[in-house]
Amino acid sequence: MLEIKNLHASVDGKTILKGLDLAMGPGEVHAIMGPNGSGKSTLSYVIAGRDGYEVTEGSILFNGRDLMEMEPDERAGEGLFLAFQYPVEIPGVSTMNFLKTSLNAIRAYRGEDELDAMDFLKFVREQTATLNITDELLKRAVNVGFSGGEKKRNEVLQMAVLRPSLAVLDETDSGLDVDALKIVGEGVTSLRSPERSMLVITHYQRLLDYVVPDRVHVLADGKIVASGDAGLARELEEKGYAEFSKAAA
Amino acid sequence: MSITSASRAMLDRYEAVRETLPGQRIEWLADLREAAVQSFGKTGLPTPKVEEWKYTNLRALDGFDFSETPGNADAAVDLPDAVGAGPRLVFVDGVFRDDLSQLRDFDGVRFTPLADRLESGADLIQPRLGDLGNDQPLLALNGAFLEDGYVVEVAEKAEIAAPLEVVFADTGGDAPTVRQPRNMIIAGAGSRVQVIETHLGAAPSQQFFNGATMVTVAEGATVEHRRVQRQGAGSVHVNTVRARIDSGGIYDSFVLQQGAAVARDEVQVGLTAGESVARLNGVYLGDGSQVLDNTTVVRHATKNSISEQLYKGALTGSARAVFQGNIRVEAGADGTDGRMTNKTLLLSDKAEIDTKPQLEIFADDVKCSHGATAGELDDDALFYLRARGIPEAQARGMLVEAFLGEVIDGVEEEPIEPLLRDAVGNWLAHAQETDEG
Repeated sequence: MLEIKNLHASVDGKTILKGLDLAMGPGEVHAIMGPNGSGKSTLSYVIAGRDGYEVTEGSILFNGRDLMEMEPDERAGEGLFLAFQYPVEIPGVSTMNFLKTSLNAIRAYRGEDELDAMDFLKFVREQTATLNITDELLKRAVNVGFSGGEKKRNEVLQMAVLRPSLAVLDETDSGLDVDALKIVGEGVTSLRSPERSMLVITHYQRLLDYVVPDRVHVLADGKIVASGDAGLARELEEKGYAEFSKAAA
Repeated sequence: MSITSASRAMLDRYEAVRETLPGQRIEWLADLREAAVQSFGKTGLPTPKVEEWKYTNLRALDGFDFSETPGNADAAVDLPDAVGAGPRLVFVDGVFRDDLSQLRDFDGVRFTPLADRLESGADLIQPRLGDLGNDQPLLALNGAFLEDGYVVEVAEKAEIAAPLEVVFADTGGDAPTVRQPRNMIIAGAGSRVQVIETHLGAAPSQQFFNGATMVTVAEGATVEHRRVQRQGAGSVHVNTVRARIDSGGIYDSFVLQQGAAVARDEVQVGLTAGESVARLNGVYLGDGSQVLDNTTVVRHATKNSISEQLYKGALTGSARAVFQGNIRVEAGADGTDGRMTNKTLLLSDKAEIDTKPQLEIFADDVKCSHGATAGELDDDALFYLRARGIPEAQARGMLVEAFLGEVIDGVEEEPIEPLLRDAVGNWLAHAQETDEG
């Protein structure tokens, strides 16, 4: 469902991704681990279609379609979701309104009717319960004044509401204490399904204790330098990235 | 000194029509007009050489032919729906239209055209008409031609639930028109009232609107003054409000500036007795080559008075906005709390904001602040919304509405709130269409 071939990408003229290959099937969970500066966030932004991230070579196919041809909102309509490492504050837009507008935009893209306010409210309440998100938080402006944990829970809530077929989680575990990590980890795990693939991008193993991946890839200097099963993540945690980075050099 | 050609045309016009001005046989009124025209004749209209008018140029008026101002006062007009359930006074091309107005009696308020009160209400009207003064050229000009206007007179302790609405409509004939209403809002002690002014004009015609309003807020009274400026695209609009606020009184002003080629809304507030409050807020939406000016002057001349100002706008095309905010704290006005913020979204490369916040503080124990920002939409926020499936135009719209929402939230649940939100939505849709085309 996701097929990345020989991906080269640059930011501000600097090449960050240097020939990355990755293939994921439906329902699979893959982890990409790597040290700072290896290109993890660049990969997530390239997949989501952020301006300024230029693909210079290679291709990304999503369900057989060329992702590079699509605007960011079209990618979301096609079923792609990026959980941001640094969720953005949007003063003046309530979280509830944001969720509703997003969901209805995606439904419109797919030719589905908008949900009415009552159905939407009921649907959101079903999702918030497991994530320990209060109605009060839904009334607040998107991410404004949210704690680190609230921001990440809000990302997982958006994923639960938008039900993507591919979720890219960019360092969703960063900045979380143990309790928040548990809520987020369990929230993500509850969204695993045979119809939903997940690409978990992380520096650490700890989120993977909850979201056990089918495959683990090591990213170093813009390329995948090693792949294995969940055991590879534990190996990385023990040995560090140094020897993989050397291999890439 | 030489005066502009439009200024000369105004003086000529005065000579031609002075004997036919309404109420001219009332001696004090004729005197008031004469003093005003003398005063105006010394300066003429302000030019950018005058510091207060450095950023807003009235030279467009020099292209107007003011030799006749026919108007079209009997014309049929498309009036907008009433904003609230209150009474409404309608002026078409400067003339009060009984047939279009809804005059309902409310306990505790008299709401009439000025012309009705010049003789019967002279005791009340005369001193207040003069209160506006001739110290500014546009006020003097307004005084010289002093035509009709509205008078709101609220009795002590009366709380008027429904807003009082005034519509100034211009039908836009072939010749340029000049309209110079002079208005009064007089709120008795402990009373409460809301006045909504709407300024409308036919699209391309040339109109010069020069309004002046004196607001008197007695002890403990609250006046909410809303102005919706949507004049025709060829117009020059200047509206000057002077408010004097007594102890415990509140003057709460909100202006939407959207219409006209060149527009200036100027509010001058005197906080003259203890613990009085001024809240001045505004939204401006400019496109094409519009110039939209909001000027405020707040004078704290008493202990523990408060002023709060928030003006926000969005500009596209090569529109320009001006914000001039002046807070002056007189010696002895300890405990003053004065805050002023101006923020502008520039949605195109050619849009411009000239913002000039000024604090003049002559007292010791005061809290005063001002802030101004100008910038484009936040790219991070835009990408975040788009990554959630929201198409770009809609995402931009959401961000602009959210930006301006901070000011509109200040009139939440008032009758004009839906009108303002629609205005922003429609303006955005139009601005985005123009960008694409």
